[in-house]
Amino acid sequence: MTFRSLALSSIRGNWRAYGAFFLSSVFSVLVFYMYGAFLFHPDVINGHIEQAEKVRRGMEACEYIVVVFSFFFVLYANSAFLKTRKKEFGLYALFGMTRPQLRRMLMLESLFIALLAIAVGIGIGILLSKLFFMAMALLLGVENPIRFSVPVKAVLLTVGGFLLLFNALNWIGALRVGRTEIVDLLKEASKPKKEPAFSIWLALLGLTTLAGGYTLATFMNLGTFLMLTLPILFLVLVGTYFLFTQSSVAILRLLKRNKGIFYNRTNMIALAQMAFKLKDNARILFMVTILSAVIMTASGTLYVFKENGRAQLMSHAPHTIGYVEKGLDVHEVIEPDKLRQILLADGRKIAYEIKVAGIATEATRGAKGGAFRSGVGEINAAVIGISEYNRAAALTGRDQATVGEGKAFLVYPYVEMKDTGLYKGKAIEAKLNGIWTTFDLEPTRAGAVLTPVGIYTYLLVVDDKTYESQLSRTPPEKRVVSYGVELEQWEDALSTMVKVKAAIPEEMRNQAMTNRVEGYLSIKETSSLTLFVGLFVSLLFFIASGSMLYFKMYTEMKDDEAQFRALTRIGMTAGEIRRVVMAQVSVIFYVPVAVGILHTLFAMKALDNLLSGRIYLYVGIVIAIYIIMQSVYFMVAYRTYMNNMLKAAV
Amino acid sequence: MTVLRTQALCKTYASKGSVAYKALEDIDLEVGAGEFVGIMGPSGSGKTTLLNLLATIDKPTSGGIWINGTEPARLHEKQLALFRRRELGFVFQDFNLLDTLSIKENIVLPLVLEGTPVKEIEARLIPFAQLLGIDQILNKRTYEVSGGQKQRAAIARAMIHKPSILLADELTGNLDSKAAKDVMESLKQMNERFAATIAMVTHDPFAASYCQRIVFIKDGRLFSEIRRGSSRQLFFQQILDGLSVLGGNFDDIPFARA
Repeated sequence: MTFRSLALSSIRGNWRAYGAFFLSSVFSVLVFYMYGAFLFHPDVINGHIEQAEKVRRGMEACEYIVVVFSFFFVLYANSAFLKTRKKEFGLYALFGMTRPQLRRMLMLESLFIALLAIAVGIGIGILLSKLFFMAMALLLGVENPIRFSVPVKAVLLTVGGFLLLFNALNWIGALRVGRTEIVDLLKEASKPKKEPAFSIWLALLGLTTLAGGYTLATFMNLGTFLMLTLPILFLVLVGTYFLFTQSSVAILRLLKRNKGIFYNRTNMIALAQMAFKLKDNARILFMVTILSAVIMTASGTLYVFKENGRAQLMSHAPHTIGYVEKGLDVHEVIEPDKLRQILLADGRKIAYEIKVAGIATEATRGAKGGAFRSGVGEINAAVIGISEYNRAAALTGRDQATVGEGKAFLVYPYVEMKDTGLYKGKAIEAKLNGIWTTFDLEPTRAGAVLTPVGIYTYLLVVDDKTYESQLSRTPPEKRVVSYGVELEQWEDALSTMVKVKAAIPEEMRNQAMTNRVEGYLSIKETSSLTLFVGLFVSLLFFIASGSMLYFKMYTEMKDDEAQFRALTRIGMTAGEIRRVVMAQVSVIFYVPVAVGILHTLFAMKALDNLLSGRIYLYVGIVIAIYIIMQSVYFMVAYRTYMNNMLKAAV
Repeated sequence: MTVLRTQALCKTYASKGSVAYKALEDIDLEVGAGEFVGIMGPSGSGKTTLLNLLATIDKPTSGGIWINGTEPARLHEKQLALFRRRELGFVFQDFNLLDTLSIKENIVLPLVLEGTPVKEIEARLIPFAQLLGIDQILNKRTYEVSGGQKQRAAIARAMIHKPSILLADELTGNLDSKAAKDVMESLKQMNERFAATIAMVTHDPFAASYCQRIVFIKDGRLFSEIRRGSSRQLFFQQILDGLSVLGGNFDDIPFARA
C-alpha cells in the first residue's frame, strides 16, 4: 500500500460523508464554468453578439459571488471534516504516523478531491453549456444560435481558480491538524455531550432584536429606506443568530418543564434530542436560514419587479398606440385610416379605438389660496367632460368618477405621483378661449386613461355641461384630440409598431406614444435574464445549504444509531422511532426555512411599502417553490436516515 | 408458576457456503416466577444467542419460547415491540442509557412511552430509586455519574414497568469489583423484595454466585445445572468447579473477586 493509495482509500471510506459536499463543489465549479464559457465565448469577446453586453456585468458579479461563496463554504466544510475525523487521526498517530505524514496525507486527499470535483464540474459544464447558450440566445433574442464552444480561457480560469481555492484552504486546515495529544484525539468522538445551556439574557436579546428588526421593516418607506436598511440587516442577523444558539434551547427547556407535554410518549425523546441537535447545529441552521432568506428575498424581489414593471407600463401607456393632434380633422400625426391599414395588413386585431376631443388650457394659475408645488411652474392640461373621462376609464380598466356641477378634478398620468401632487389647493383658474374660469377642485386622481403626451399629459375633468359649452365655443381647428388604439395580443406586435412609427413624420413623433410594446419587451428581457442568471446562484446556495444539513445529519448518524438500538431493545416500535426521526429531521430541515420565510415576508412588507402592487402573490409563488424543493431534500434525507436507524435497530 | 419456558429451541445460522452453523440445539429451559437464574458458558457457547432469542430480538429456527404463556415468535413486528416494552426488562453491559436524558428521565422512559399519567410515573419511580440508592442523583445526567450508578439506573428502568422477566446481559462486565458488588446486591434485592424473575447471562462467577440456579451451556447445548444452597461462598466454589468441568476459554474472567 503506497501513501497515495492510503489517501485514496480514505476518501472512499469517507465517501458518504463527503458526497454531499462534493456535489456542492461540483455544482459551484459547474456554475462558474458555464458563466465563464459565456463570458469568454469567442463570439461574445469579439462583439458578434451585441446583446451579450446586457448580461455581462451581471454575470461577472455572479462569478465573484460564486467564488466568495465557495471560499466560505470550503472553509466551513474543511473544518467540519477535520473535526469528525479526529478519532481516525488519533489512530494513525497511535500507529506511528508522523505529523508531516498526516499532513501530507490530508493534502493528497484534498488534491484528489479538488481535481475530481473540478474535472466533473467542468465536464458537466461543457455538456450543459450548449443548453445554456441556447437559453441565453432565446432570452437575449439573438437570431443565430450561439455556437458550441469550449473557451480555453474559461477552462483555465476555472481549473486554476478552484484548484487554488480548494487546496489553499484545505492545506491551511491540514497544517493546523496534529497539535492535539493523541489521547484527546481518540477520546474526542466518545466524549459525552453536555446538556445544552443558554443564557436567559441572550435568549431574550435574540427575540427582541429580531422583533426590533421586523418592526423597523414594517415601518420602512421611501423616505427611511436608506437610513433603515443597514440597522434592519444587523438586527435580523444578530437576532437570528441568538434565536438558534440561545432562544431555541430556552423554548425547548420551557416545553420540557411542562410535564404534561414532556412526559407524553415519544415527546420525551424527541424534545430532549432536539435540544441537542439545535444547539449542536445552531451555526449551520443560522447560515442556512440566512441563505434561504437571501434566496427567497432576492428571487421574490426580482419576480415582483418583473410583474410590477408590466403593471406600471400599462398605467403609463394606457393604449398600444396613442397620439394627440391639434384640430379636429387635421391628422398631422397620422390618418386613422392609414393606421388601420397598416395594422390590418399585418393581421393585427384592434381591440378598441377611442377618440376624445378636448380644449387646451392656454394658461393656469392658483385660485383661492391654491398653488403649484414649489419648483413646478404652471402646467397646462386638456379639459374634457366627465362622460368622456368615464368612457376612457372604462376601456382602460380604471374606476368611474363623478364631478359636481361647476367643479373639476385634475388627473395625473402616473400612479406614483399620487402622493407628491403638483397642485395644492381647493380651486384652480384656467384660461379657456381667452377667458379665465375658476373651477372648485375635487380630489385629484392618478393613472392615465388617455395617452399622456403633449397637452394630454394632464387632464382637467369638468362636468358635461361646462364641457359642451366650452367645446362649442372652441373652433374645430383649435380643439385638441386624443386618439387611442388598443390591439389584441399587443405583446407580439413589435414588427407592426416599427411600421406605425415609420409612418409618423419625424417632427410629430413627440405627439405620439408607440413604444409600449418595446418597453414591455425590454422589461421582460431584463428581468428574465436577471432571473435566469440569478437562478444558478440561487440553486448553488440551495444545494450548498442542503448539503451542510445533510453532512451534519450524517456525522451524527453513528451516535443516533446506538441510541435507537437501545430504544428498540426496551420496546420502542418502528412507528415510534419513525415519529421521533420525523420530528428531528423536519426540525433540522424546516425550521431554517420557516425562519427564512418569516425574514422574507418582512422584507417583502418593506418592499410593499416601497412599491405598490400585489407583491404577496408573487412572493408566495417563490416561497412555495422553495418549500417544494426543500421538501425533496427532506424526503431524501429522511429516508436515508430512517433506513439507517431501522437497520441499526435490531 | 412458570414465567419462561423454551422447548427444543434451535438456532441455526446459514453461512454463505452450504455449511450451516448450529448456535443452539435442543434447549429446554424453565424459569419459575420469582426465580433468579444464571446462564453460563464459555465464549462461543451460545449464551448471547440464547439471550437474544429470549429478548425477542432474534427468532428461533425451530422450537419455541413462551413467556408468560405468549409465544413472541408469533407476534407481528409492532406487537413484538409492545410485548418487549410491557413484558420484558433489559439490563445491558454498556448500560444503554440515553445521554440526552437525565437519570430520572431514562428510568421512567418505558412508562412515558406507554402513556402513563405523570402522577403515576412519579409515584412508581420513588420506591425503586430509594431501594437502588439512586434517589440522590435522579436529576444528574449520564456523564455525571459512575458506572455502578448507571447500571443501577438501568436496573430501575428495566423494573419500573413491572415486567414478567428481567433479562441481564453481562451487566457487571464494564464495572470494577466494588461497583459490581453493589449492582449484584441491588439485583438480589429486586429479586427478593419485588419477587422479580431474572435471567442473567454472565461469565463472571462472582456475579453468578448471586443466582439461585446456574445453567451451563456448551457448544449450543445444555450441559449441566447447579442449585445454590444457603452459602454464597460455597456456591461460588461450585460454579468454579462447574466451569472447570466445562472447559473452554474463560480467560477474561476476573477470578480475583469474591
